[in-house]
Amino acid sequence: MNDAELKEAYKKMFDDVHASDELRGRVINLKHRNRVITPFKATIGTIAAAVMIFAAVNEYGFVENTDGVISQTTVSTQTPQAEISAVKPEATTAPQKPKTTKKPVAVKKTDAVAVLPVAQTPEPSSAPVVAEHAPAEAEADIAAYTAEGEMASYGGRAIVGNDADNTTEIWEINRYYNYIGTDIGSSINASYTGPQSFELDTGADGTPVEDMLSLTYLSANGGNIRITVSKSAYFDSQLSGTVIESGNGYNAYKVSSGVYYQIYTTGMSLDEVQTIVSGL
Amino acid sequence: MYRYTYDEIAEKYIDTIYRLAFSRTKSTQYAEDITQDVFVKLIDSRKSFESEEHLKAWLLRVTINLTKDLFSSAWFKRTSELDENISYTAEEGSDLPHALSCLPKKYRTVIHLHYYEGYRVDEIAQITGASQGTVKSQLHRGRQMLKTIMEEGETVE
Repeated sequence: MNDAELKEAYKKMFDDVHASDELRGRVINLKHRNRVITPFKATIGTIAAAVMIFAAVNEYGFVENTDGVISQTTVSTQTPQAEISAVKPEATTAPQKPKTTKKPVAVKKTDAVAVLPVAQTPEPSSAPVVAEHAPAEAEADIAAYTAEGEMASYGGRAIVGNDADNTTEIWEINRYYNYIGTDIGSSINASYTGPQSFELDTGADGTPVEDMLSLTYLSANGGNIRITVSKSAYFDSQLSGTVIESGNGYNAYKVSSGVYYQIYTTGMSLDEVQTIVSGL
Repeated sequence: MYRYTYDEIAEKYIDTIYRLAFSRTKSTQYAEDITQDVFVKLIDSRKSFESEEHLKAWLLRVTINLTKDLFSSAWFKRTSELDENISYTAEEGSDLPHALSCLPKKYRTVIHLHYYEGYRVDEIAQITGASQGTVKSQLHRGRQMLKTIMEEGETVE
């Protein structure tokens, strides 16, 4: 098959690949919101019924901070009033293996350049600091990248390389939660199922150059949740708080406290998804 | 600055985006999600475009970036299933659909942008963020792999 034949065969193949009428309608209605479910407004009854499962956190992932503490149920003051719950639900902790469970305290959102909070003062060391209850995967990740004289590891991160512009680091999930200023797992009724560490490029100020991560969770009812999170992608989205039906389930978009969230779910009810959105 | 209405762009390019998303994900379900997300980004974007072509290239780039994010997630690895109900129309006896499904997605992408969308190497490089040399190499390698698979019935690693 020569180039021209390949081109003709390829075009013929894809000429019949089209977006469905249903998808077409959903896309058009994104702008006009004819079929978009109205932004979810927290109700007392809904929030009171929510059962919180706290994501297991590493001990040095969070700072006890009485200044601007964000509770597990109350959204930051930057969030529109309609999304702030009037009632704090009963909090229930559930241990997650293999880590211990601790009530998380989210650090007040501060300028990312000014502060990257760590729970413990790092001791300079050529060996990676591994928390007592560090998850096996994070330990393996950090250990795999340790090299004498090249590495410094502290506060849930390990530097694995650098070039003229950026440093490549491995961050533990809790460090990322600290960075974005919220523990997502504590806000939604789901257990975290994603990786325990991520490779990120950081600039001279130590903040990620590209900070969008996909975090995955499993709901109590077996639904799958993927939340794409980013501070750098934050903007005042006009679709914030909106839940949209997709071909697989429900998707939602939210901006809150300087963080941009895209939520993708399967196997979950509309009420469950709306609860997630309101909890972020 | 290029002025446009959302409805006009959505109608005109929804199939373009869907096809690219489908060529990369090989799944109608993920292609639909990606397509929807691309338009969410268009709605929320404050970017101005110099021309319609500039807008189209942006849409394609966003599509590629969104599929990259999907592939890297543990979600995709846990929940993905190859969509066997591929809605291609191929000539009877053609091995092209099978051959395409065997290609790595980076090759499928450049093949799609070149053979279906008609983009040149330099344009594909701008859309994908790769160098022109890389695009040329991927295009060449992709064509060779297709040829090998179709002629010899082998899956090339």
